[in-house]
Amino acid sequence: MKTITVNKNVLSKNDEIAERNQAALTARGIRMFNLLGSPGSGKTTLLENALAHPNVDKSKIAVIEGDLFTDFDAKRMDEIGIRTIQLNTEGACHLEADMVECGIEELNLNGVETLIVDNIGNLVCTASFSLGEHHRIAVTSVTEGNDKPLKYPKLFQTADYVVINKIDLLPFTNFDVDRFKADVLSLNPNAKIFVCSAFKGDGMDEIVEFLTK
Amino acid sequence: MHEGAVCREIMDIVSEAAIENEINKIYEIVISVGPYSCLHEGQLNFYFDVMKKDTIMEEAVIRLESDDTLTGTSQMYVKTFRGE
Repeated sequence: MKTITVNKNVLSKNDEIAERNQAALTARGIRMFNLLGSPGSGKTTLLENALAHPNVDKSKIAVIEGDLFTDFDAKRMDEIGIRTIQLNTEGACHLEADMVECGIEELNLNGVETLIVDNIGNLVCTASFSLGEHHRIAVTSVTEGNDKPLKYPKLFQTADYVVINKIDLLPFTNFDVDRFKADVLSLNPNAKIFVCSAFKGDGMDEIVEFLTK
Repeated sequence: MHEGAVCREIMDIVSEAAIENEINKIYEIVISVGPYSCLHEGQLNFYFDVMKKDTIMEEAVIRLESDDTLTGTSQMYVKTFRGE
């Protein structure tokens, strides 16, 4: 009987592909964002509104859409003139780096400066898998309740940007914006927090700025 | 929910290390987990019980060991395994 010491990161294979993705994109001058949040938090609506903004040069943007099934979201990107590819996991609850690598190979990224991955709607699993993104954006909506950062800490700990969406619905909820912000900052003091309504268009200028700067 | 993918990675890492160390039968695998690994032991074992059939890990058990020093996105490590 022998005991073998391994000490290897369980997700090292995924992380190696993620590093390869990031290096390849960096070499081409492309920044990749990983957009994460619950189903229905408004990730795709946020993209629709932000990318249709007059300050956005659509030829410099591409989107990888991730869902279990359907190409609904790729069609939405198509409709606003954004280069896109749809990935379907047919059951898997998160995207992995190798899926995004395939997406990067299939997309024409000539002239693109910003690549956004609209991940599967999920507050848990998606946070554990790096895709090679340069920045992570967590989207949450006021109807989800302000207790989510402490309940689902990993996403908020690893996000560079946290967006509070559907702020137009705030009067109809008991969502406490200050409490939410304090909880996010207690987990992740460097998080930059934004408040918006992707549906109505409030607060979108700042989001467009960090997506395109 | 992602324990299936995690189980697959653990088994790949252990299989590779077992070949390198000429181990043909594995009895125990120890995984170090950080406080926010989000790895569910029951679900992991459910997948492992299904996936280990007809492999060198057929008789093995997976044991999780807490390690509070693990932070950030990488909070799961294959620490050791025991076999012959």
